[in-house]
Amino acid sequence: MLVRVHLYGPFRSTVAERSFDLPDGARVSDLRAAFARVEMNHPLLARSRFATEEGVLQENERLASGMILAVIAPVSGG
Amino acid sequence: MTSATFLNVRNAETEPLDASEALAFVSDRANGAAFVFCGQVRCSTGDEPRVSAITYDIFTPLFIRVVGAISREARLSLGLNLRIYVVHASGRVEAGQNAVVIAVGAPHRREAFDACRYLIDEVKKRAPVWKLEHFEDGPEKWADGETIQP
Repeated sequence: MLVRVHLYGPFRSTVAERSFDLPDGARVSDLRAAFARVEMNHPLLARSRFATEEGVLQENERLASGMILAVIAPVSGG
Repeated sequence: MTSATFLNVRNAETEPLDASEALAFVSDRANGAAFVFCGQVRCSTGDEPRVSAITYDIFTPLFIRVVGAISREARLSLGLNLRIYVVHASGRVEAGQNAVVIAVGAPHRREAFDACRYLIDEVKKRAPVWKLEHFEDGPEKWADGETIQP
């Protein structure tokens, strides 16, 4: 199944989005592993979370085909 | 969200954040206090390199949802009749300019102070916002941050 991840802040360098083809039933932790391979273990990934427009996801949450997510690097608002 | 809440992300390069707009929104004849907080871009602290500007990147849909939840928490804790205004800048903000404006209107000053403090403290921990710092000398860099709290 295909999921899309929007990139923000420190993750948005040359591209604004990445797509991942994951096995059916994949969880957020599987996406994290796939993301680490593409981003060459980005130094901020371990302190980052994945989220949808509705909220931050837990690592064991299942993903669905066609989901659009964002990778949330450590935040620094205000 | 009730009509007593205004939340937004605004491109500061074309529409600078306006504290007087915030004050006007939270002011109400039923309230005895209106408190406005402006978070501004600081050029330097001590021996750190001088910052000339910050570019803000924001995941806007999640920002609105998270700040909406924070606003509801403030109301449940401090009063359902609070009027709340939160606008965060996106894009480039020069040193000395507003990056975030938060305002609260309340019947009494304590609720206005406390709600405003709660809002800015929680926004800094929970809102999906990132800062690219531009320096007078040297390359730009993303500011260190904290892992987002759900």
